[in-house]
Amino acid sequence: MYKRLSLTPSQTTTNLAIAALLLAVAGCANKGYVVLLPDPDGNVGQITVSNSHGQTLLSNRHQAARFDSTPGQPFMITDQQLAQDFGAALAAAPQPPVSFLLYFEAGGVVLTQESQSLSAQILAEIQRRPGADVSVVGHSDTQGDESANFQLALSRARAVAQWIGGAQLAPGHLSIESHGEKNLLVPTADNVAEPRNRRVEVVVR
Amino acid sequence: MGVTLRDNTQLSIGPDTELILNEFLFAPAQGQFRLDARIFQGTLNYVSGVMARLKPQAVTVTTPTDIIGIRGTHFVLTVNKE
Repeated sequence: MYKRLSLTPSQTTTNLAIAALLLAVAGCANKGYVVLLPDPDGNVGQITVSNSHGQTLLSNRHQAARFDSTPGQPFMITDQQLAQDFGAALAAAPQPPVSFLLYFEAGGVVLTQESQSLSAQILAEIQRRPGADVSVVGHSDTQGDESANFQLALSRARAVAQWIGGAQLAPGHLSIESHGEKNLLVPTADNVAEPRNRRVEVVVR
Repeated sequence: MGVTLRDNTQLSIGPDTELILNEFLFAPAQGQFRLDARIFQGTLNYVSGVMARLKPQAVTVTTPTDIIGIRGTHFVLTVNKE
């Protein structure tokens, strides 16, 4: 838009002032902004904000970056501004999902005694949520063959899903999956027996 | 309104918001991950899920001018109408 300004000597000063003003307006042409917040567990992660001018890293609570701005100029947002601009979106947040971890006796699909006692809690959580959606995900440790681990984890997930099936979920609201040895709770090298990785995770959302 | 995706990513939006969940693929056993959300105007509250932990580079939230890369975290953003 500045190219359209034609400058004659007598108007130069005025027009330059107008140009400076336009530049200032364009500079804060407010495209919006992003704010980093603490995770539900209190940790603060990181986000990068990239545009045609470069990249800005945000790593502190309530640190913010304007969109379409030059990098390296994050600012801090106040609680008041946060509530004003994001109150509605934050209030619309769904209930956080709840996860349950179930463990098995070695080599089969029988739950440990302790895990069996969790079943009532899981069913209660499902009843408490209207339109509940449940994932049952089997996991294995890294001991043995990858495809055998995938199958064992799947068998365990199916066994758990069978008794959850009684919770009268809407069609399509119960998924059964195996992540095999690809989503470890406790990171290990390959071929390591680790009971804490031999689990079925039930997520109610 | 708000939604919880299968990897536990949570998205909720404020009034007058236009958002597209362009792609969602979560198959850890196959090593397949992709979450691509695009917001054109309005406000978004985003809490990352399992995907941002397992493969952070597969998760992007884009505005008309910027791309947000996520390393496991919670953020809010607002996009003003052109």
